[in-house]
Parts: sequence; C-alpha cells; structure tokens
Amino acid sequence: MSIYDEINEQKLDALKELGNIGAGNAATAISTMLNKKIDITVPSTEIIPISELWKEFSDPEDVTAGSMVEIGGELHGAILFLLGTQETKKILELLMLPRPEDLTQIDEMTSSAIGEVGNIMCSSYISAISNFTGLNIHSLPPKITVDMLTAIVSESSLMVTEGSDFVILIRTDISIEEYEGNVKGFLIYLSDEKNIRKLLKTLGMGTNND
Amino acid sequence: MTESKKKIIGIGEYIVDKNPTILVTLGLGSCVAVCLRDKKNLIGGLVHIMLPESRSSIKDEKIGKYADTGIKAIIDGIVDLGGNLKYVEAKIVGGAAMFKNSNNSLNVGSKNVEAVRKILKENDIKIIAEDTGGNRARSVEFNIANGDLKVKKVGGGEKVEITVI
Repeated sequence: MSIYDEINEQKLDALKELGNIGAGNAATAISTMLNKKIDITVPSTEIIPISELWKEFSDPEDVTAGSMVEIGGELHGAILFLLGTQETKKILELLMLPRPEDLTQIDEMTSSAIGEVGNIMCSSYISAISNFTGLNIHSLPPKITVDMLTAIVSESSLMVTEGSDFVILIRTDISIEEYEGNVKGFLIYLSDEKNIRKLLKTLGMGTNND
Repeated sequence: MTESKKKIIGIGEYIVDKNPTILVTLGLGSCVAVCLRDKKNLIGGLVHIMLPESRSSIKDEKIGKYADTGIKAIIDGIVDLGGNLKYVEAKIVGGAAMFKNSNNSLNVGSKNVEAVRKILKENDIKIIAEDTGGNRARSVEFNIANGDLKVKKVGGGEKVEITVI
C-alpha cells in the first residue's frame, strides 16, 4: 500500500502538531541564545514525491545556508535548518561573530558557527520529539552547506530516504523580531515512509498492517 | 528564431523530445544529469539519476532513478523518435559532494558519475563535455537545437554563475 492511501488528514494533523512542538522548542532555544523574539509557524505538512520537490520553493535557486542534523536511535530522519544569506549574516552578527562578506567563501570558524546554530535548532526539535513520543533518539553531528535552496533540500531528502520515492516534509517558517516581512528561514523535518509509520504508531495512530 | 519550450524534469525522471525543446533540471547534488542528443536528427533526452544501479527486488520502481535503467530509457526513447545511435553524443553534469563532513554523499556522487561513464562506454556513446564532482550543486538547461548545456552553479558573491558546456 502506498503511503498516500495510508496517511489521512488526521494523521497529517498529528504530524503537523509534532512539527509545532519541535519547532517551538527550537525557536525557544534560538531566542534565548540571541535574546530576540522568534516567531514560528507550521504552514504545511506534506507527503511529497521526491520528483516534485523542486516545486516546493518559489525561488529554487536562492543561495541558502543549510545545516542538516540526522536523527539516530529508534527513529531515522533528519531536521534541516535553512536560512537565507542575509539572515545568516544577521545571526552571526547577533552572536558577536565577524560578518562574512560572502557566505559561499566562508572559513572553517564561520562554517562551524553556522553549524552550531543549526545544531541547537535541530537538536531542540529532536529532543522535543523524543520527549513527546518517548522514543530513544539522539542527534548526529550537523552537516553544513551553502548552496541553492532546492539542491540542499533534495540532497538531504535523498540522504534520509536512501532513494525511496516519497518524503514527508513538515515545514516551519521562522521569523526574527528585527525582520519585518519576509524572512527566508525554514526548519524542515524529513522522513521516509517507514519511519513516519513508526512515529505515528508511537502516537497511537498505527495502521492495520502494523 | 523559433521559441523553444522548456520542460522541467524532477529527480528520478526523464524526458526525450525533439527540437525545439529545452530540457531543464534543478538541484543536482550527488545526482547526475545525463544529456544525450542525436546531433543529426535533433532528438535529445535528459535523465536526472539518483543512484548507480537499479534494485531488481523492488517492483514498480521508477526507471529514471538509476544510471543503468535511466540511460537505457533515454537511448530507447531517442530510437523510438526516429533517432540513430550513431549520431548520439553525451554531456554529463552533477555528482557533487555538497555537505562538509559527510562521507556518504561524496561516495554516492562519484559512484553515480563512474556508473554513468561505464554505461555510456558500453553503448559506444562519447562524452563530449562534462562538469562533475566538486562540492557545488548544479542546475542545467539542455538545448536540443544546438546541444548547448547551460550549467548554473553558486559562485563567488552569493550569485548563481552560468557556464555553457
């Protein structure tokens, strides 16, 4: 049975709620660290064919900083933290770090600083899932890249699903107090079908096949 | 000049078409875009492959996902549209390792490129241009009219640079 037939509105809502809790935790962590108000919204939870991932973003070739933190233990998946180049520079500045001229040419220190912010966001998300579900899971070291938006999401999805056709994407929009209007920030929970079934089962929403 | 229509190809998909068409695919990380074109009959195809080899154990798999089945699909498609393999040339792009401190993606990217080279060689198709490896993702536009392959990659200054191969 395809994941499309199995996952109904109710289950997607449960996943969206999980995304809310995880992202909420992440926002609190970053907000404490930067001493700024951070707002988050979870606009969508979707099952997306990998072949159509490119349709997800209005500007797929935007240069974006991405940190990917994989989930290890009883559940496999990943949290991806994506932030536009200007927003990334702003955060580095707020952390009293030198503001890089060009994010595509960053040194080791800046790269690990971006990774650390990503790590804090993603690990908070992961520990919220762990607390909520009771699953014994942990975060793996962050992987960092600065590249085209769609490419980061596609590549991470491929790494998480190891070549399956669908990915579950819980997307969170992030906005930072000082930015009015459109902040290009996302947190994305990526999972393959098998692990999303496992996750739903722990939430008491298993399928008949389980 | 005739207006070429653009067709976008997702991960694991392929399209074979006649001139005038521009085949587009976005976000090639460790994936490889294999572009084949019959230069005499102006028929071409692009496949966005994810992995080197198909797993026969899984049914209903998308053939465009793998180097072996994907390239075969393009070759068959070109022949079906009246093309001749004698005139077919290849350009390949992709196979990068995008993430730092990750051995996983590095392996997949280079294995994909290796598999593509091997399969093209087995089919006597010459690779006339390529942009592979490195750590940058790429997007491509393949023009069936003249065989130009436009490669977009993030360069210095946080801009996307365009080269034609």
